[in-house]
Parts: sequence; structure tokens; C-alpha cells
Amino acid sequence: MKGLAKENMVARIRTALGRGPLEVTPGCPSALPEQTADAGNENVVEMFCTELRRVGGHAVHVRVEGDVKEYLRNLLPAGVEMVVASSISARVGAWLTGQNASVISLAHGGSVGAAAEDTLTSSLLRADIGITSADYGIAETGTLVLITGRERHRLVSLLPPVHVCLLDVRHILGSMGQLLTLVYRDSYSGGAPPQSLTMLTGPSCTADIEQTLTQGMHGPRELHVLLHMSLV
Amino acid sequence: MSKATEKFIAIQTGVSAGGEEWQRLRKRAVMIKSHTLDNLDHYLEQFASNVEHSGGRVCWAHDAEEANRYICDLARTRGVRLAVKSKSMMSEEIDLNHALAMAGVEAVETDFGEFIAQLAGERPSHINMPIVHKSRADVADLFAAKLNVGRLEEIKDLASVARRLLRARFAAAEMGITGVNFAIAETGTIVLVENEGNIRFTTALPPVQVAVMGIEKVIPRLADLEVFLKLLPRSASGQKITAGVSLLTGIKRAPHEEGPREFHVIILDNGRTGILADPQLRESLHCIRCGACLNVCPVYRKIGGHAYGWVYPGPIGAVLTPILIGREKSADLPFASSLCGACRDVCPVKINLPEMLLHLRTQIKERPAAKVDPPARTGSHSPRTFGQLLANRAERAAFKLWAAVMKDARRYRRAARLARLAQLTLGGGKRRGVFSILLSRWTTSHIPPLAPQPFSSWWRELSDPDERRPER
Repeated sequence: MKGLAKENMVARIRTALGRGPLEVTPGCPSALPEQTADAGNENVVEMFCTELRRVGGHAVHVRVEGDVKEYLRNLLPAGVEMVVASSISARVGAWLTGQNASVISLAHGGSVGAAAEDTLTSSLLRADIGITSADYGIAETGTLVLITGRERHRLVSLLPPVHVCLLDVRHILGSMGQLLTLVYRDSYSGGAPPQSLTMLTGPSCTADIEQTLTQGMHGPRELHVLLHMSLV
Repeated sequence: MSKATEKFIAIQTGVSAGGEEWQRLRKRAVMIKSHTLDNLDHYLEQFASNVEHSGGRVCWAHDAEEANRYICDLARTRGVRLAVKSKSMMSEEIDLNHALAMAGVEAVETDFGEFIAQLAGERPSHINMPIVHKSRADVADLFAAKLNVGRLEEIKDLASVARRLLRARFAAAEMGITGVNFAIAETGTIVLVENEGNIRFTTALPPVQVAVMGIEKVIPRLADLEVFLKLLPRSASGQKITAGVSLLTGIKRAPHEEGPREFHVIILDNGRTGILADPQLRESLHCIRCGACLNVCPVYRKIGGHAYGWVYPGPIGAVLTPILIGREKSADLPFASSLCGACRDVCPVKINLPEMLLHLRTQIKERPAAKVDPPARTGSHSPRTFGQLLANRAERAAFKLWAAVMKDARRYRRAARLARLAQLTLGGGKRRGVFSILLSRWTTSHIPPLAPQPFSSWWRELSDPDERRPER
């Protein structure tokens, strides 16, 4: 039945095109010429920050763990207990020591246990801040690229109203084209492409009512990118 | 902390190489699309086999009925009571929500605009601005009446209500349904473009994921995606890139990973092989649903999206509707156009819409109007007479559609609001909105320069003539 449906559609397409089955695999027209820009070089990092700020995101350089601690402390209002969800290493707990904050930790590649899985979504819905890392940045648009496999960041980067993302400056690429080339290469050395690759550019937004832009629709209302070098 | 939320997306000029870059991207996009269509059987089979290879299932559906039956059967066997949907023109085309309701499944639209349209019991009136016909006050009234939340004046408060309500739905839904912006043959990946985050919810939370796509959505390689990710947001909203882009491939790989347990792609013909067979209409399958042709169309702005009577409004709707639902059922649509060419000039994939409308006009047998002399049968009529005939027919067709809308006073007011916007922007002068900038491309054919100020601020200035007068 299913095979028949497929055969029928393929036959209809061939009739429409006025030909039979292809005898050779078609050669694609060439892709856009590859642009070269050194990942992580100063100009690329600068462009990333400019573009990110343009879409309402924050970009901050952090050099030592103390900088991260301080940045997070400033994000947390005093006197109110906050829930922080994190998909990166257990060190986030240490960063928040002494803060009035509880941490939901979804560590690298590990399981949170069957019981915790069931209630994970509802716990994450209560989180005030989500902390993740990003696999890449794209300078020309100020875009973060989050790839599943190493980190459980899909919900952590989506549900809390504030998303804090750690990005290693050496992983900032110049263009979208470079990213797609890299992903393609990776996926063919390691099997299938990742289940999910998400590109995030600024906080979520909508312009559906009177074409007036409002930030923070279904996803985060704020996006803070902490740029570092081998900190996490 | 509130600083970021106060900021608008600063859309500004000078972010691209300008005209040449835009033309290069357009040319590349046309090349990829036409190459894909020439080899469509190959790329669809390749895409489908890669979907299956990554743990997904593929349904090849001939028409709406087959697609709806597959999705409803799936819902039934998986015990689905609630499905969350992100915006999908294809699901509108097949009236999936109705089919699901008949099968006892509640389908909730999660795009803010679509959610509002669904609450109002209306159809979207634009491809990517579904409630462009509604004012903020309309939405405030609607929420007060239907959601029991009091009357909220601020857009951010209205957005918060939807955010809160829909979060509960996302968490409860057993099925997530999306459309597909692009399908990558070499990897079996689907690509979804959004600003709100609702697509990320729809594809990350529910255990069963369903994606509905027309056969023309496939492109050969990941490397080909770049061109389209640059063209689509620019043409749709003047953004360099949307807030979210998701590339999704198959099912989750390990129990503790995030993502769906099941992934089903419905590859749907629904009349498209008929378009493929007609060389003069084939290019309409290049369409990436950006909505730019609607925004520049003087007829669309005059009569509004609902007047087109089916799913796709505007110039692209005037072409697709007669082909997809039957020329006899929408014989007026190809005539509801002044053939000014703005749609062709603005189209990121260079679809020659005016030529297609003419082609359809000749296919639909022209009935002469009472007051207009038909052109001489033996072909010696002057182009001018024939032109007049078409102009008249165009006027009558537009009026007919417009009259249908006018029966509903509220809708008329909204349509009039759009028309007023059109007049103001067409008037030129210093106050040029996004639309007038797009219109300037009639002659220059350059990249639409990104608006120096957020569209929203222009819109506020332009949409309320009581508060300001247009400069002359």
C-alpha cells in the first residue's frame, strides 16, 4: 500500500516531467562559493557581538569563572528565590553558591533518572533562568547554534524567560555557509546529522499584532551570551 | 533586566552588499529550485530514504484526504487527544484541523497570530501575518470575550496571556504538527523557520512529531540551504535571519535525549504534479511562501486576504488557487490583478506572476462583459482594446471579491486600514514605510533595503491618520 503510494507519486512526477526514470544521478549546481574567515579572530567576534546586540541580545566577555559568577549574581534579584536550570557542567552549582537559587541540573549526556524525566518539563516550566552552552556562533547574523547529542539544551534554552548561553569565541564562524559545510562534514564522519540543530538569533519575538515587535513570545524574553575561551 | 525586552529588532540599512548580493542570491535560488524540480523524483526519493534511515516514517499522499487519513489514523492508534500545531499553510490547504476534530482530536494553533485567528473562528488573511486584518483593540475584545482575562490594552500583555495558556497545551499535547519550509534530500532533514519559539516547543515536547510538506519543498543539499535562509526572512519581514531556525532529522537517538519518539513526514502532491506538467506555471512551485508579493500588491491591499476565498491570498494565491481547487471554481481570481508587475519584481525566487495570471486568463474562457466589445475573433484587434477589456475584467473581478468582503462591515474596516496604509506609502514623501521601500524596487530591482527604523514605528505612524497627517 505504502510502496504503491510512493510508486504512484513518482510515476505522476515523471509523467509531468515528460520522461522516464533518471539513468544517472543528477549533478547539483554548485553551492555558493565558500567564504573564508578565521573562526574566533577578533573581527569575527566583534561582528558577532554587534549583530547580536542589534537584535536585542546581550554580549559580554568573561575571562575567569569569577566573571561568570558576578554576571549571574547581577541577573538574580536579591531576596527572591530563583530557579536556575542548566544543561552544562555541575560547576554552575558552584557559581551560584551563596545565592538564593536552586539549580535543576541536566548534565552532559547523562540521564536525570526515570522519575525525574517525568517531572522534568514541569520543573523547567518553573525555572527563571536557563543556562546552556552553544556549539557555534555565526558572526554575520549574531546567531547561536545549539546541536543535540552532547548537551540537553533544547528545553533549557526555550522554557525559562531568561536564556544565558556560554560561547567559546574560538567557535564563532564567519558565515552560515561555513556552519552548514561543517555540519555536513561532521554528520558524514559520524553517521546521521544531529536530531536537532537550532539556530537562535536574539530573544523570541512576535509582530503579529499591528506588526509591532514584542520580545518574549513563547521562548525567552532575554538572551545573554557570555563569550569565553575554554572556560567550560 | 527589562532593557532587552524594551528593545526592538533594529532592522537597518547597510547590512548587505546591496543590489548585487541580492541578485546573486535570487539567481542561485532559481537555479537550485529549477534543478530540483527537473529531478524531483530523484530528490524526493533520496529525502524519503534518509528520513527512514534516521528513524522517521514517510507517507506519500496524493491528496488532502489521504494526508488527513494518515494523520488521523496515527492520532487514533497513539491515543492522541490533543495536538499542538505550528503555522502551516499546507495544513490550511488540506483543512487538517477539521479532519482532526472529526476524529476527536483537539488541534491547537500555537503561532500567536494563528491562535488569535482560531479563537475568532477565522482563517488567516496573510501567509505570514495571519491577523493583519485585526487591530490590537479587536484582539483585546476577543481575549476579553473568549478567555475571561479582562480587557488588556498592551500587546505584551496579550502576548503573555497566549504564552501562559499555550505552555500548558504544549506540555499536555501528545502530538506536534508542523509544516516544512525546506526539506534537505541528502540528509532527510526538515528546516523550520520562526520568530516566536512555538515551533521549537511543538517539535521538542510532544512524543509524536508530524510534518506536512508539499512535494516542491525539497532542496538537494545542506549547502543549498544558505541561500534560502538569507532570502526568506529578508523578503518576509526584513530580518537578516529569524529568531529561530530548526534543522530536525529523524527521532531522538537515546532514551535520555530530547526530541520525539516518532517522526512522520507527509509528502503531499495535492495538485502540484499538475503544475509541474504545465511549463508556463511550473515556476510557481519555486514559491517559498514569504508573502512579499502580497505586501506590494495594490489589489491585495485594497481587498484584503479573505476576499481571495481560499488559503493563499494575493498574487501567488491568484495563481495557485485556480490551479489547485479548479479554474472553474475561482475563475475571477486571475483577473483580480492590475498586472503592475510589483509582485514579479519583489519575488525572491523570480516567479513571473503577471505572466502566469495572463496564461490562466487565456485558459479560463473569457466571457465578454455587457458594456465591453469583445475583441475580434480573427485576431486583428489592437492590443489597446484587448488591454481595456482586461482592465475592465480586472476591475469587475476585484470589485466582486471586494463586495463579498464588504458584506461584513468589520472585515471591511480592516481591509480599508490596509488600503489606507497603501495610499500613504504610495504617496511617497519623507515618511516611507517598508512597503514603499519595497515598491521602489519596481524600477531598481535591488535588494529590499532593510528599513532604517523598525517597521512597528512606521506602522504606528501610518495606521492612525487621526493622530497624524501624511506629508504632501
